[in-house]
Amino acid sequence: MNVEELLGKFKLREPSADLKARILLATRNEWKARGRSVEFRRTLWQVAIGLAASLILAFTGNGINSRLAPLEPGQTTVNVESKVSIDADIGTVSMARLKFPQAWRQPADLKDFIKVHEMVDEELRKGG
Amino acid sequence: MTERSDKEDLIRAALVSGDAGAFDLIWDEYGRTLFGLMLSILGSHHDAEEALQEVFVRIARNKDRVAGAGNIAGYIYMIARNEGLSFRKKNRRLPVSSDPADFWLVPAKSEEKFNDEALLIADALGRLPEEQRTVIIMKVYRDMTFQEIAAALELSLNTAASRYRYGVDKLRELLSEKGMTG
Repeated sequence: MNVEELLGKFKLREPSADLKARILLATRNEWKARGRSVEFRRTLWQVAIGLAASLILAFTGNGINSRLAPLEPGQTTVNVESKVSIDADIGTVSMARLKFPQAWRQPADLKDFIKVHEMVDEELRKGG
Repeated sequence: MTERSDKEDLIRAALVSGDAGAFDLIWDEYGRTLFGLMLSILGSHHDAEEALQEVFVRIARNKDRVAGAGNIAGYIYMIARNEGLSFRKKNRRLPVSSDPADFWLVPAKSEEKFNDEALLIADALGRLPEEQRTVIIMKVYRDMTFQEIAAALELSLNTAASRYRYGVDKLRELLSEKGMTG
């Protein structure tokens, strides 16, 4: 019996019946995972482009500003005066401030802030 | 050949458009031969199935490259061969498993029982260089022509034919040592 005849007495074992299903599932999962990663990368790119655009705008704005209002020779800082007008009786506010200087300046938290506010209101009512 | 290139065009179009049906088509067109190739490289039914699954995942991962390949079949067989060889390296298994559930060569006639002859032939095939064994398996067990084998493995026709001839010579030698050929 020659080699080909001998080989012909046998055949390759066929793959399991569920192999195709397993393979199709694995490839679909791979494609889904790739799709998600592409989506994530796209979002990252959008954020990066947004940041870059903001930086460009900020630098451009700064450049334009310094051209419009250039500093005097030797001047390194610009002083800005801010004006705040409060429609209140300065006398009573000052009184309240003198009585509760800490609370007025920096309430520790919202509870303190409300408490201080109520006290000031009461003071103002009494004063009025 | 035209029918094959039509199928390749269908596969290409499905891969490009992201249609998961591409893998159905690839399985129908190449699945059996790819499985034969895996058996040839790994000599284990279980490992061949595992490695073939990984081959398809790789195709999914590189779908643009596969779709852009001039010879899709050649490209897929190349992925499969590389995957099979690296799987064998990773798992460091012997080419022929002694586990009956893992035998990859079975009697052609279903009424015949599995016998030692199959083991001896599987063992002799396992002793051939992988390139020669693959050509023999594609030719004998997958009825491929030398032209089809050459295209699939991206070889010249002469190389495919000579690998077959050298392989069969070596196989004859190995089997006659065991008193199986005259």
